[in-house]
Amino acid sequence: MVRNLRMLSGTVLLIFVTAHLLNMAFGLLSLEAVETARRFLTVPWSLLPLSLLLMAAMLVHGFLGLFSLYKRNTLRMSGYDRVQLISGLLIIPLLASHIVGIAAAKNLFGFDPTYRIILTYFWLDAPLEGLRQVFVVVIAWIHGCIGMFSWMRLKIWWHRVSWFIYPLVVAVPVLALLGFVEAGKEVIAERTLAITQQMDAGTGDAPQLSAAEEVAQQEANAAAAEVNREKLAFSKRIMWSIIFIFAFLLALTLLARAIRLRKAPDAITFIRYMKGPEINMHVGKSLLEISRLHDLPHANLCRGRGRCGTCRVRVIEASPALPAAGEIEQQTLDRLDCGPGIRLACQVSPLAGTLAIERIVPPDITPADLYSPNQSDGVALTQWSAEVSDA
Amino acid sequence: MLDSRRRLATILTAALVAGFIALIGLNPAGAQSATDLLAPDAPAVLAESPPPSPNDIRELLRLLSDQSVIDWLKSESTSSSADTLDGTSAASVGFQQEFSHRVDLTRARLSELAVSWQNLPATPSFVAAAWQSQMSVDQTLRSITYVLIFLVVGSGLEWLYRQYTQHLLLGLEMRRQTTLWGKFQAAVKRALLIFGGLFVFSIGAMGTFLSFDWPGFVDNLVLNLLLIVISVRCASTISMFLLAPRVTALRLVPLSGDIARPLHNWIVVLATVATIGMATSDIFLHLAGSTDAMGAALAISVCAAAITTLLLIVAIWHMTPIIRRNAKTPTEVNKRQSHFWPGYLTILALMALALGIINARELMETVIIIGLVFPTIRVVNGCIDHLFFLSEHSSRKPIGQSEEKPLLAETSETLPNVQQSVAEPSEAEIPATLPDAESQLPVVAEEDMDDVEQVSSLELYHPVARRLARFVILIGATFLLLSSWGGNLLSLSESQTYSGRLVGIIADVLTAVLIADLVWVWAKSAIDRRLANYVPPQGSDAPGPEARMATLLPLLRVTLMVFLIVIVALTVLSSMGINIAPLIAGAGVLGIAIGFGAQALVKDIVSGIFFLIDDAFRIGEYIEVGDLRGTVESMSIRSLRVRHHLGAIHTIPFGELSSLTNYSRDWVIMRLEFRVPFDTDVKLIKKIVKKIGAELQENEVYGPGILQTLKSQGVRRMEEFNMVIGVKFMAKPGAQWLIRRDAYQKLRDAFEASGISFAQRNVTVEVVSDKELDAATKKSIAGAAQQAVESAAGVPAAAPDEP
Repeated sequence: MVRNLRMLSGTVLLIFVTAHLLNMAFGLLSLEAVETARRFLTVPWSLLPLSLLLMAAMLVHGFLGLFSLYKRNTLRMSGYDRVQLISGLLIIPLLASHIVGIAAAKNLFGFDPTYRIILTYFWLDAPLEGLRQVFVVVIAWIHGCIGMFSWMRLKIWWHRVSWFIYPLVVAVPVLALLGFVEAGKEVIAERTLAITQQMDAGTGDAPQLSAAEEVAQQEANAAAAEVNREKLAFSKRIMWSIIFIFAFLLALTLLARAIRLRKAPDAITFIRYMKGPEINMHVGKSLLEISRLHDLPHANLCRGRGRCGTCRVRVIEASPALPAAGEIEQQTLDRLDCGPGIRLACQVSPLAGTLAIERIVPPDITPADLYSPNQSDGVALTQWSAEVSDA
Repeated sequence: MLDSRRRLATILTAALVAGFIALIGLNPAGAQSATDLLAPDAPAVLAESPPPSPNDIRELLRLLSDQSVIDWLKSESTSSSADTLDGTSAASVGFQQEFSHRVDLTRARLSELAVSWQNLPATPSFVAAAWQSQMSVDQTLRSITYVLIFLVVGSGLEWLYRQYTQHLLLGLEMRRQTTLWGKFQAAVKRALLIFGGLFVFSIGAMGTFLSFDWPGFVDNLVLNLLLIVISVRCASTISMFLLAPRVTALRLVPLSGDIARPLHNWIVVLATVATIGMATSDIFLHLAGSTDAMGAALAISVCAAAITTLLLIVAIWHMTPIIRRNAKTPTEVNKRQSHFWPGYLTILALMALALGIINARELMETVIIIGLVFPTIRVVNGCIDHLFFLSEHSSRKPIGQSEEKPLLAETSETLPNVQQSVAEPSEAEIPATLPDAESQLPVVAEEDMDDVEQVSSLELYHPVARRLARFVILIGATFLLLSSWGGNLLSLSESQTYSGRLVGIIADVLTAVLIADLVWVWAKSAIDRRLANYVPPQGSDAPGPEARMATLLPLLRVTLMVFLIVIVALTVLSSMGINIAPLIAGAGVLGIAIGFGAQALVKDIVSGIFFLIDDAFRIGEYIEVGDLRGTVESMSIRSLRVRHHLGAIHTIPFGELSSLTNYSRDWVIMRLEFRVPFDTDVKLIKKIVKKIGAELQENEVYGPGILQTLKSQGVRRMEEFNMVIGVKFMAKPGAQWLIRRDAYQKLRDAFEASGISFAQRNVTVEVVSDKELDAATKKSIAGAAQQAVESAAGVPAAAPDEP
């Protein structure tokens, strides 16, 4: 349930990000092309049903992320998981100013945030913001793709489409960023042109206004600037409060996690890997996490989400007996038609006592191997397990 | 003993190299070929052209006496000496001027340093002002954005590459190879995959950068930032590949994980700091190029260099206790070394820094290169020992992989190059690993010696690999030195100056000696190994095929040595400028004369070698040459000594051997036949022969010599008065006589026991008349019959001799 919800909300967000990036990629053609594409790719998301969906997905996904952080037993994780976690945590603070800025443009200042305005802002008025945008694009894209991949690569069609998906995965952000650069250059060129024209004009047209008019105009400008400044300060406040709330929630999650881990029984479990070392370990971590903590090769295609079953182990000896399989684990085991004594390393946490296990699947298994057990890779697989059982 | 000799040899060769280098370093004429135009080369050039006319000479003299021309020449020569970086264009004026010029340069540099030290507090503001004048904050931020985007493009492409190759890489890393060949292949494939990723990254990042147009300073800045990232990644990838800090099975150097991990971290840190330092200095030099912030830029680059050196020293002293802890057997030598090396490297780094600060670039590079030659050689030797140790272990189980050994030597060869191409700090770092390598390996080698009696086939290439490594390192160091002094080995030896030629001669001699040494070590160890593996035949055993190698190899070794010595001597002579053509011609004429005179002798020797190569006979074999037959007793270089079985000895020159029959190879077939009367039961004979065959085979003296035991071939032919029964057996050469003897004896006994008689010649004379014959008639009839029998059967041939 939680898994599916996370997947669903993540998919919605990723689709939005993709559309947004594709829109930016039109910058490689021209700024006008971006504006045209905006009407089809970006504007619909601000309309009611879609905007609500987007909002809900964002909230749900954020909270689920914090929840999974809370559930983590160890923070030493595989490279992908680490990147996934850190990028997920970074997205909100980095993206807050952009979201608030767009929302404020529409609701407070009442103008349509076209790409021209935003790009001028990013490239000329606040280059730091532009830099931040690049970061956030990369981070959000990586986060989304890792999530998508660890789900999709277990599907039977994956190894047929993956070769076409990989280039797309790289192409979308790369094109978007190059579009960003190209459009940015266009904007910069426009601005420099405008400045030179103004300078030319300034020398000729200066004394046309009378003094009173000038004063009035200055006052009006000042008043407008004052109002703008207030609105700007207001949106800044909103942005910072979002960031602070997020930080607060994160701190709360970490605190709760610390308390949960503190509460765990302080006992030692002794694990013997067939064709591997013998390990003493504090209880409270899953077998897969233990393998990773000791740099033992252990297949896990779905990265410990209990989907693929490649981390399964044969329990040779367990005293006391391992806790019964949960719902997720049982589903996967049933699907794989595993006999008794086979467990998923990512789901099972050994209790205090002794345990002897044997890794069944070779660690270099690829998703393609999942569905072709009788082909050449399957031979290697059985060979590996034969090696394991020899030792 | 051997080791100490080897060390001595190393030191001697290194001393040679050092002397050679010093020569180039100190002699400006040798170093700067460009300046040869001004100086001693000029007369040589003039000498070749036709002599100038008296008018020209007068004109030249007039010009030379003109004060303005003299001034111009002077200023020109000084400016050109300032142009050339090291200022060695003082070639024409010699060593003293050169030295004073250098001192002047150093003095100027020191005063610059003093100025920038005084202005140090103002440096940040200077730099900031210069920066502001070049680009605004916005522009800076924008450049960073660009860099970031290019890096994203690069990493995106690399990620794509990885997705397509990850499966291969994982397979390589997870499946542990057991054979040496497998390991080597896996390492090469892994390197290709890993460096391919890096390459794709660089192409992606640099390619996008290059496809945009940039204003000058932004160009420099962005390029430098990109280069920082790429070079740090290069260093880290190389270090990762060699050290494999986490996975022991993939590690290519003989280090434990406890050393490899911090070492890798240090390499990455040092590479980062060094590249950032270099890039910063470059950026600020570019920035200050036109302004008066020169001093600030100088201060920054000096600071960067100092920080890098400091970190390097910290790294050395941080690694030392770790290595000392990990050394397994802390022997006396080890202890001394572990105290010596860090100090040595520290001093080296400090010297390099000091020389770098006073801008004596060539001296700095010289110090670094010479200082690192020894540690590099030792490290590489350690690596080679490690690789051979590994391969010894892996090759013990599967035998018969001999093809990959040269390749292995090459793998170890690539190590020094790779190490040198990493940033300089990491190179200096690696020697710190020595005590560990040294301590582990000798122990291992001793163990090996104990349980492997015969020299392993891989062991043969060990000294060769070590020599080759040393050779490559020394040559590489020489070339590096030359290039750092702006010289070129080729142009150097062509230059006409005395020292230039001396340098050329020494380089030639050195190269020739090193190559000859390499070849000699390889050949000698190969020959010695073969000889060591040869066990002379014990007692009466037949010698194996190695026996001829035992004859040939010492000959080959001597020949090779003479050949190498002659070649080296000729090379040395020719590089010393002595014309060797008459020598060679003389030697050729002499050779022809001797060849004609000793034609028969030469023919004997050469055909002897070919007979040996053909393996036509071995010592102890029974051969037949023309009419002569006997057992081969000994061979000399010219002739063969054969003993007849009756005791006579034949000495046959090899040249006389046109064809040769060898009776002692593999097997012989012996056919026996005997005659029985027509009424004999052939089946019974077959049975008896079979029984006797079994009996013969069970005999413990000659039984093992029987390859196919006695068997009956049935009636071979019918004759007038009897039938001929054939039997045969197959035996090892030499055993057949005894078997034949016993077979005949047993057959006779068995026939007698079962009532079979051998056929006897009898002639039935039919007398037509019924009369009783008288004695005289009977006698005459018998005589006639006897004649008839003899004429029919003919005289029986003599049985072949038995040795």
